[in-house]
Amino acid sequence: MFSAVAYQLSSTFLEEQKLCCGRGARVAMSKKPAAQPTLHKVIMVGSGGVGKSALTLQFMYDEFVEDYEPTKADSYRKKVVLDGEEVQIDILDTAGQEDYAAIRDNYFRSGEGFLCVFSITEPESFDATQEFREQILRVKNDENIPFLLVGNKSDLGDKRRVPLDACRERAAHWQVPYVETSAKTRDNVDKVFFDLMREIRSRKSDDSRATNGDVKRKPRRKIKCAIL
Amino acid sequence: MDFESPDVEKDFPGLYASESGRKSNESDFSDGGEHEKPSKKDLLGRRKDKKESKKDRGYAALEGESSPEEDTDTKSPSKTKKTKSFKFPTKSKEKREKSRDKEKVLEDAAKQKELSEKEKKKEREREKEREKEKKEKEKREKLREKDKEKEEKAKFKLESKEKLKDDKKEKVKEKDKDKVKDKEKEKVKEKEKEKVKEKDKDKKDKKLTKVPSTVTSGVPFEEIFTLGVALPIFGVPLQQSVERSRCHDDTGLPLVVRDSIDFLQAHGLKSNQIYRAEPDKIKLQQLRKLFTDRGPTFPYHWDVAVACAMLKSFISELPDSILTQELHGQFEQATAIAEPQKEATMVALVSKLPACNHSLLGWLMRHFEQVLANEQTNHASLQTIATAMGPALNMSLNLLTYLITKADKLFPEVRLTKYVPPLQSIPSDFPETANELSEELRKQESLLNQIHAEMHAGFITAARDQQLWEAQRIVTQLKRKLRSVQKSVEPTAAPSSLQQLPDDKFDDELARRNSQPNDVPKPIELPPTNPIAPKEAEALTPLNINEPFQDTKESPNTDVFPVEFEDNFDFKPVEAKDEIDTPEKLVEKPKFTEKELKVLRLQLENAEYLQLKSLLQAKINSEQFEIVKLRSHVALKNKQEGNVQCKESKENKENFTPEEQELKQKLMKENAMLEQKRLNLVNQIFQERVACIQLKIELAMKEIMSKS
Repeated sequence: MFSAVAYQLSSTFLEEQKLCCGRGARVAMSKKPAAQPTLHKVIMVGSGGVGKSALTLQFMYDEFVEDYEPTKADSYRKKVVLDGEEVQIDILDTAGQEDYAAIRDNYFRSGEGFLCVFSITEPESFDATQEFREQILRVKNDENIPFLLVGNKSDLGDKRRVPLDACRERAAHWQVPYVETSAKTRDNVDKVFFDLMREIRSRKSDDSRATNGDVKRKPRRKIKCAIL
Repeated sequence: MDFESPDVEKDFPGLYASESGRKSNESDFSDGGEHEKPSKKDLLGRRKDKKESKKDRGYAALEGESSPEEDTDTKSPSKTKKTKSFKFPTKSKEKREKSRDKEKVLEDAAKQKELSEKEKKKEREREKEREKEKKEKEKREKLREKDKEKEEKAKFKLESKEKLKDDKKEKVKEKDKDKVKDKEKEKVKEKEKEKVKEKDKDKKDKKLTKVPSTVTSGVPFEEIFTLGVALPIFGVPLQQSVERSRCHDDTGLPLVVRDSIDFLQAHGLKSNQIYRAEPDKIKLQQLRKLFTDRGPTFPYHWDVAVACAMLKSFISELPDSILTQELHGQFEQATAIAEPQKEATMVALVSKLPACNHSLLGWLMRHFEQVLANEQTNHASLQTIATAMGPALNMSLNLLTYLITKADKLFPEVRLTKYVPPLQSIPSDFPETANELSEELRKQESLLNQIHAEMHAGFITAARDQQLWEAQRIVTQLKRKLRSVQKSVEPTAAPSSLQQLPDDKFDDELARRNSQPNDVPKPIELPPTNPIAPKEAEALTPLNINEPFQDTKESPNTDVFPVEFEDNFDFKPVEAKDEIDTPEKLVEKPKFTEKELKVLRLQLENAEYLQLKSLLQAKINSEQFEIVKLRSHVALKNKQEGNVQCKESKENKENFTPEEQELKQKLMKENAMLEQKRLNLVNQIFQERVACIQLKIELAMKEIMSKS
């Protein structure tokens, strides 16, 4: 029994890999055809000016950009070692401004995990997280999507206007982790990305188990249909 | 597909001669199609039934909603050509019968594999005939819902025609049928045209609303309807075709057209097959499918005849004239005007065309011009091109001839450059200069927009997602790089303030030219048109590219735009140059050799001059428009007060007093002197401009040197 499950797991994994390679080869001939490390797709959401791009750039290039320039959409890829395993992370930095909401939807669909960022100095951005959460749930149609609530600009503690309790309360309500970061001081920056990747990873393995379960369930369903 | 029209039969009388005897039989056959025996094959029978039932349902659902018949007669007579617009079932229908359609698509796929089976062909013929039969009945009955019904039928008909395109016999039959039922068909087509836009809007809306369901149901949308089926690029208005499958480099051409012209420019100019040979139908079909499905094409898909046929079928399937319905008549009328005004009128008309029509027409005409320039080797005369493309373009020989011969004056800004598609992945050798970066960025953003549009239309697949992220990543990288390059170049931005200069200069230049008699060639004779004859350009090897630059300062009026040698390119030199141009080498070797430096400098110069050129060109165009406008004003005035004025002026001349004479002479002298001064200033300004460009380049070079 166990070996059967293991076999199925490995075969689905192989299939996935094949798919990845096929796509990779089609898209980029210059890329090595060797098996790509697992790819986790992370999407940054949150209202404008809360520091999504700053967090991303800090994580990607260890740089902090002072001058603010609204993002339309940006995407980055990085190879990281997650608990001893080499993985790739795709980060999509979305626009906070509503003007680009249409574009955002297309990305939400393919995102595997979300960092919902707000600024602890800006209550409006904290309120907006509610809306982003709803939007994501609507698009993904999944309550348990890997999701982190991120309070950014923790270095500006003296200007704090969103109480810590309120943040924790909301996170608890959503049943998601809450982390405070500072893109400026790099505080917790790596943590949020790695935590999210871990969630995505565990989620993926859950999923593959679930699909294996599905295979077994399928015949039963078919019978149902026949009866109908 | 390409030779269905009667015109072609005229041109190739022998082509169908052997089958002409069958014509009468076949038209009979088509009438009697209704009484055909049931099919032998189960599958096919089922399919037929399905179609029939669909039809009936269409009736019921659409009853009451229709438009009056009369609007079909409002069509302009200029557009009598038969467009075989390629149509598929509308969304609304698909929605109603989603499950059915799923099956149908699968079946269609199977069908296409077995295309060669005669049984099936016959079957489909019968279907078509039946549809037509019904149509006729309806016409007699004058049912109100006729409009919609016909449209749908036409779609089916055309769809199945599409599949059978490569079958010659079939074509002959269709042609016969066409003849018999020409009128009906035309009406149907016209109605289609009228509704195309509306429908497409509907389609999009419906798809948008449909998105969530497809996402949640987990069935990839694209498995049910391919992108090519739902958003066709053939037989739709040009604008749409461009939006759906475009070149991402600002040319505003549909990819099909660009690729076809590119291929012909590279491999067809010297071939005696160009616009003459019959294409391999299967190859053509394959290529068409690739374009419809937005797939990549490879050299083995192409040959000269297929490229010609591709171009032709795309154009002939456009629902509207390439010259647009409103302007078509004016274009034809303009051919009758006497010369000096003719060109100005044409230029004005051309400038009135919508952007996408303008570039399509421009590219075609510039391309034909090139074909004709090689007449000695490819033996393609004007007549050859007119025969092959005339019916598709739906232009008179006169007009076509004029457009081709004056292509360089009418479309001076069109340069037939080979299409370089946007990067597919982040290469190790990213572009280096700001110009290259921003050019690539524009391409990528255009690509990105297209992907977004496709996704909004409901085509969400893992592959497209992948593509989206990839493109987005490239955009991000390009932006970052561009920013860093710009930061380092920022101090050199000052010269841009000088951009005003050429404007003034050109105003003067134009004014001067206008003051000259009219039969002197028009202002567009100016720099943009290339002083180098095509043959010379062919002889130009990449090595002497830099030659023209030397002359720049001495004779700004003739050789200022040496980049233009690409205008009459003979793809090979250009490609060779491209190789040198590719930034890889610059990146790979941090130390530049002298040759590379030269190339780099030339690149920069090229970019600068191109920019200048487009600026000036825009100015010229607007001036020309002004000239035409003013001239028409003058003509009008003259007519109104013609006779009286004449007499008066004569009297005036006779009554010149010596004082007046003196004054007149003085004024004339002064004018001449001012003119001279002005010319000097113009020259000075121009030289300064050139010097500015040189300085700019110097700065950029130093920048690059210091970076490396």
